[in-house]
Amino acid sequence: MAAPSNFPVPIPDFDAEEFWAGCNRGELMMQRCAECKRFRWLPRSMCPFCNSLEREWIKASGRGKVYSYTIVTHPVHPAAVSRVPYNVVQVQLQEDPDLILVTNLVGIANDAIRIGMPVQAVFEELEPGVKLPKFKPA
Amino acid sequence: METLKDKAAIAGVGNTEYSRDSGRSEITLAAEAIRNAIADAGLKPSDIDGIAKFSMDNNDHVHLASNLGITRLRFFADAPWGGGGGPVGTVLLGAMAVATGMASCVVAFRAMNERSGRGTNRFGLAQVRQGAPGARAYSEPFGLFSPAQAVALSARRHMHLYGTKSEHFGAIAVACRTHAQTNPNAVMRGRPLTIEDHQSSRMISDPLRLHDCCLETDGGAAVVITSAERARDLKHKPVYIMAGAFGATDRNTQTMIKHLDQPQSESTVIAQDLFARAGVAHQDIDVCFIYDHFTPLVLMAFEELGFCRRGEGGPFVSDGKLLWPNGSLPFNTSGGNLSEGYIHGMQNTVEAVRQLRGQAINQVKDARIALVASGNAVPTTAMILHR
Repeated sequence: MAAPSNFPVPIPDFDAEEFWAGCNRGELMMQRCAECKRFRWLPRSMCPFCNSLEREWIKASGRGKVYSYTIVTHPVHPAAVSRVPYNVVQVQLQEDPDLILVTNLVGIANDAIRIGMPVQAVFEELEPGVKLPKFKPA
Repeated sequence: METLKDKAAIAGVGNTEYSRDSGRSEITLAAEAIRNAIADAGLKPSDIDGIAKFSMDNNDHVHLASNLGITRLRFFADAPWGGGGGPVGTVLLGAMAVATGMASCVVAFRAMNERSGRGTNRFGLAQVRQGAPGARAYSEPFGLFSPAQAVALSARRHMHLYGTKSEHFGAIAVACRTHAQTNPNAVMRGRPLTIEDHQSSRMISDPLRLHDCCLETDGGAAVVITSAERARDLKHKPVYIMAGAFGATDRNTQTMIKHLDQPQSESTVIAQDLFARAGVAHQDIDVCFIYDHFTPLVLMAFEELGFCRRGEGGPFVSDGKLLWPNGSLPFNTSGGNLSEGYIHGMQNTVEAVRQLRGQAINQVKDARIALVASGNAVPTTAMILHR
């Protein structure tokens, strides 16, 4: 296999197809229990709070706060070589403190990133037909 | 309730050389480490009837049996999450097998060519794969691949919540490196490290610096577990398995990412059982071995295992208590994953036994009780040993 020029594309799990389909539409769809209405992340089959198998997908506001971050300077993947230094950020969504996504911040210098800063989801193409949920300063 | 307490003992330990390139196959390393451990116990390979391995180890039970001449294999198991959960998990599987009569003598081992890549891919490099399935779909497309990068997120969060500093992480690296200087088998012997060296080392994934990350090593390490009764008739004084515990939570789904705002972690689950089962307290521990893949996770393990309160790990590790010979809680006395060699923590298990036998190079005076913990931030294991 030739060295890839991009990070790997997500392969949607059966239980998470709507999350990735939502990203491609520009919507941040979060999984919620249809019975007890509690959110969960990562997407999964059963509600860990009430064990219901019924689920629904809720369009989240896309608003959240930076929970933590790192600036990667040592590339460990061929596609990272031309990208370092780059940020990897955890964003905690305002809908529920359990919703903490690993993502990237765009539209900001790496050295300006701070824990707690408000951010807003944006959707960026990784390759044609595959959009990822990223965040920008709100 | 019936417990495992003192029903099983470690009777033999063995290892190969630790290097950057063994020049040998992984099964050669495993067979040599196991042969050395069996001989150390004063046993013959035909006495062994059980093999417990790390789930990530490429060597399988029956190929090892065919090399060692074990004709009657009555117990074989993989420590899940071994990986970082293996250096104690394998020993506990062996102890449970021995205590229940499933087997009489079990070897637990780890052998790999993790640095040279002769068989095992370097963990610090991303495997180049087509697409990211499962939990990796939520990290790799964003450029999060390596354990160091994931740990950096938790380290940053800890610094934010508690005021922890990079120098606190550095104190752990310096302790391990200092202990390695007298160990002839340590990869980092002859390369001492100061806090200033740590602070000037290059950034890997901010805030993690080079010296916050463990080594990558080729080598093998093994122990022999048998019943306490049988161990008393063998060559060395037995090192008894006083208590063991497994721990994980439902938050361990993204490997190496911790959830510091949650009250429970894999290591708090362990702490709730381990000391009660052993019937000892933290201050009874004479020497401790905390799996040192990344310095921030060692600091967090001390907190979550209850040696100090959450958020107090920075000052706890920085006051000299971890340093042999004068510290009150000598830690990773042969150099650990950070400076002796990265045999996935199994070298720490071997060193714990040598300490309790009085055979260690950096011998803790009158060491009676040792704690050995597998890797924090993955489903993990820990045990308390005594002589």
